Amino acid sequence: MRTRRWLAILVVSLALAAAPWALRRPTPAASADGPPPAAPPATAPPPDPWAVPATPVASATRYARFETLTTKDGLPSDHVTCVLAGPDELVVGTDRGVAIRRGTAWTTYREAQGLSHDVVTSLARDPATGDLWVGTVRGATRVSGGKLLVYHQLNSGLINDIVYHVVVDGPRVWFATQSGASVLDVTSGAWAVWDHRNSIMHEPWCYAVAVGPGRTWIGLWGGGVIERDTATGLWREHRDPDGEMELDLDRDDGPIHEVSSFVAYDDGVLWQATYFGLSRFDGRRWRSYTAKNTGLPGDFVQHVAARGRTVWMGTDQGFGCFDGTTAVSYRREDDGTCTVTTHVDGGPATTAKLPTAPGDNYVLWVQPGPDDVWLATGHGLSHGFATASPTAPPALPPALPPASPPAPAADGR
Amino acid sequence: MSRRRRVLMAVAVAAVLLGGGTVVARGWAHRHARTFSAPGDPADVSCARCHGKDAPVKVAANARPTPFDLAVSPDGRRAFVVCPPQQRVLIVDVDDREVVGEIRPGGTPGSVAVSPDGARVAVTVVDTHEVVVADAGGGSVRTRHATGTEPHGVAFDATGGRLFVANTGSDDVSVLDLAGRVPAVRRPAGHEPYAVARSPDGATVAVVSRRSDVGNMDAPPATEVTLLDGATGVVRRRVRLPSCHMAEAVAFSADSARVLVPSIEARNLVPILQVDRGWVMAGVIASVDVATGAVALLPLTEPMRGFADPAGLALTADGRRALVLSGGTDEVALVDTDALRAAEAEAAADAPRRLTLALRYVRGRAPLRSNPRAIARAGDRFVVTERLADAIAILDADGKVVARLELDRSPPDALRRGEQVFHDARAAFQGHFACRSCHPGAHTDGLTYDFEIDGVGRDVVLNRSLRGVSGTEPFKWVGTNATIDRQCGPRFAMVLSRADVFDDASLKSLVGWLHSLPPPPPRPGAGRVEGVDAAARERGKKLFERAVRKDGRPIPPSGRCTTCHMLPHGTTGQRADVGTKGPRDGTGLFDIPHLTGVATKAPYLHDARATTLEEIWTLPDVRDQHGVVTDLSKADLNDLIEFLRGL
Repeated sequence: MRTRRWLAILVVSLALAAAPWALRRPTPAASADGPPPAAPPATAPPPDPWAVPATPVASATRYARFETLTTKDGLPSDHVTCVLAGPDELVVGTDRGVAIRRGTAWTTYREAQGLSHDVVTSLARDPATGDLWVGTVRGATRVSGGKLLVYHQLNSGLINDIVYHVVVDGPRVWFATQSGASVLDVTSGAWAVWDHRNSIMHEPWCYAVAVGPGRTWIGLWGGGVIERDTATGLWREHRDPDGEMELDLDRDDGPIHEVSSFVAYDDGVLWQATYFGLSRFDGRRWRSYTAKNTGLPGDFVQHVAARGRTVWMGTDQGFGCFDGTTAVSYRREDDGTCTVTTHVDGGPATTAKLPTAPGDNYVLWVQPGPDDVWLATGHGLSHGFATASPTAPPALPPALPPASPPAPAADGR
Repeated sequence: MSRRRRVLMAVAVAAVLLGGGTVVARGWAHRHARTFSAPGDPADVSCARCHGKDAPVKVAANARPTPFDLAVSPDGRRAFVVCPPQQRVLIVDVDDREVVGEIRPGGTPGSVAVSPDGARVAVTVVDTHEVVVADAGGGSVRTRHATGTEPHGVAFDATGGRLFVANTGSDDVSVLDLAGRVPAVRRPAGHEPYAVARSPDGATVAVVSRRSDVGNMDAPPATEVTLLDGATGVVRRRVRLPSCHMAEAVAFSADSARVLVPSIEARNLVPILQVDRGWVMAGVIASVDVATGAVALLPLTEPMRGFADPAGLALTADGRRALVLSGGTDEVALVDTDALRAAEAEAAADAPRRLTLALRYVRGRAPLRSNPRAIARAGDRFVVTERLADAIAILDADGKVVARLELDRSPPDALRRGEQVFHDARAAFQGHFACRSCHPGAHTDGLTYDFEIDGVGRDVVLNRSLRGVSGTEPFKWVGTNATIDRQCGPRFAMVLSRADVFDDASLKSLVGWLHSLPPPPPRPGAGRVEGVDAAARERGKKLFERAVRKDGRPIPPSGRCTTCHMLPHGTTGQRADVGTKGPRDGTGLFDIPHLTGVATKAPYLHDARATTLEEIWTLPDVRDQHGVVTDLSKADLNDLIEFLRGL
């Protein structure tokens, strides 16, 4: 009995001694990453990229004259691959580097000046920082305040050196490459890649990227167009249903072809350029257009640019614009004049002549403005004007509005 | 024996064992602590002092103030003093020399700036990657703003509505509109941008960077001064300071036409035995023309008198005198700016080595206490942080200390003394440099050096970080120094300082402090692009740990990452040949470097030939000798690197 009493006393004593420790408030486990981030503020529902805009539909713009810049005017080469015209400067990509004109002075960057490669494939401007991104066949270059930072697959997370297209989307820069779509988060310096291992693409040859509200599209060489919902992370594939590489068996059944040479989005419409025509997607329905049935300048469409619901396209037989109903194409003739052909709703063509023409019918890049257009051609950089009479050097067109809303403030974490 | 007695006996035995064990453990703890302390030190040393976790937000109970940066209110009456270990900013009444308040920014403060109207204070918070804006009067934090990684220097624009923040970890400058009218932007700067200053006329903001951004290790280093438009934040000009690095302070001339930048001119490509004309690194001051970008470099090092670790500078109200701190020789130099301007006219490329030039404009030096770091003008006086003396000195325009505020009067413990030794250039011949000169923040300056002990022009090797170095023995790239004691003792004296070795007490303190250094934390935000591939780091971990190739063939132990880079340190402490022996190397066997914080340690490999982690494996002539990697795709390599960035 006494033993039990002593034991009881001992147990109670131990319990009393341990009570403060057992009842202590647990401290949160320290995270190796520091305090957990604050919960993000509530956000509005993701925008619908296919919503019909309130703005009026832009009609196909008609151009009355063209002027062409060549090496005689300061370009490093007549083989112009891309163009980026802004309010204060003109940036021109060629096969001999990139040239920037401010006022009347040109600054050219080539490999000797630190450019990743002389053959430039694409250009993009970061509106937040003013940095210029240059895609080349050997990586990409970031031009920031005169400083050139080179990214290629051997010194960074860029998945492949052959960069077909560069797109800036807020703090993220997209690179469409031969081995996938690399993404650089400039706030953290982290790289990631979308390819056949972690997306719906069945082969990773990416030719172009387009960004819209809540959506990202990647044009694939041999995989149609894939679409990612940025809110859900889900992918969707748009393939040519008939699977024919040479024919479009059923019109309007999907993308006109598997091989996408470019994609562009604006105002609720996604455009797919292929070497066999043009496709249009409004979120529900695909439509296909060819030179034969619509009056495009050619089926070999190398580049598309969208402004409102009108698309401008560069082909190997001139350039044109199309608003879904009216197609206007411009073709340079041997005598230096320009034949303007208009088709309305696929009907009979009407033609007109202009005394001036783009530098070449091989058009690799198109940048439309409100009343002018810049064309990267095989023979110079052409500038098309809606007015017939020449004026004092026309002001450069305002920059296109960004395709996606401005990103929130950058967070380095 | 009755049961009761047995219980009592058991309790008694337990008590004896417990009590005895406590006594034994306590005795061991004291003896262990004494290994890293000196006679006269307090008997009780907190275990956390040396073995604390590396979580940056932890505040040691006995953290000393260690005043680092400061700013002064426009009326000169209040000084705001950053005390990083205590995670607070002190508000000091300059006239009364009294601490009248504090700001708690909720993390480790880096730098501080006062708004032009004196009403607000901006404090960068290094470990939470933010800048906070607080009331200058009461110290209460009002707003928090995200910045880039590891923000340090900060400045208000002329209106007080915008902040410019130097993000040391992400190599860019944040331009923040405090009212949120425009989104924050980040503009690329140099490598490790550190300090920011606004011109008196408000038209220009200058950002200086610490590290060289020259990728070629066979070329002289250079650092960037980034000049931004004070109104728009657009980069107007990038200026290269040739052969310079460790620019940690900046100030404009009174007429806003020039930017003055104290810096180190590094001569790392020259064998370290060339002691004359400034030796391996000389203190210089760069004068940059804001309009043209022209640079004049002039020495602060004088004949037979080094100027180690140039730190803060401030100008008198009329701009005719600049007070420049030397963090290594514990002095303030008085520079006649008119004479400096005159000397610029004849400055040529070799001006930094013509030490007699300094005699034309350095009017004298005045002594300060240990490791002065920052200086700001308060009316006709100057306020200086004496960092490792835990004091704030008030100087007159001649640099003479007229008053001093002691923030901590307790005698320094062994670890503090070790840190003082680390920063003291008097250990080196003529005070040219301190340990800190090559290891700022106990990290690395990222340069290669040629120690002639290995042969002139031979074994030119990369400087290595000291963070987290404890437990990673041996040392030197060839692994011939078994302990830090040996590394910092006779070897240091023979190869580097060319002076007497440290005395035993100093060496012991220094070694103890080095052992206490935690590894650098991984860079936050690295490894994830929002919405893309969160599993990259996991995949990379599997690649790091793999024992078979992708085709199923086994990888021999010599080809596995974990064989040499055993976690948690990422090293086994042995040497290995990974096929990187170069034409200047005597051996191809190198000490396996530890991987903790590897993302912060660029460049890589013993001779710094790899400027990024990718290049460790993508440069030519590496064929599965540095781990079996040739079966990996580029995407696999990206995953592996994402894992390494997280260490």
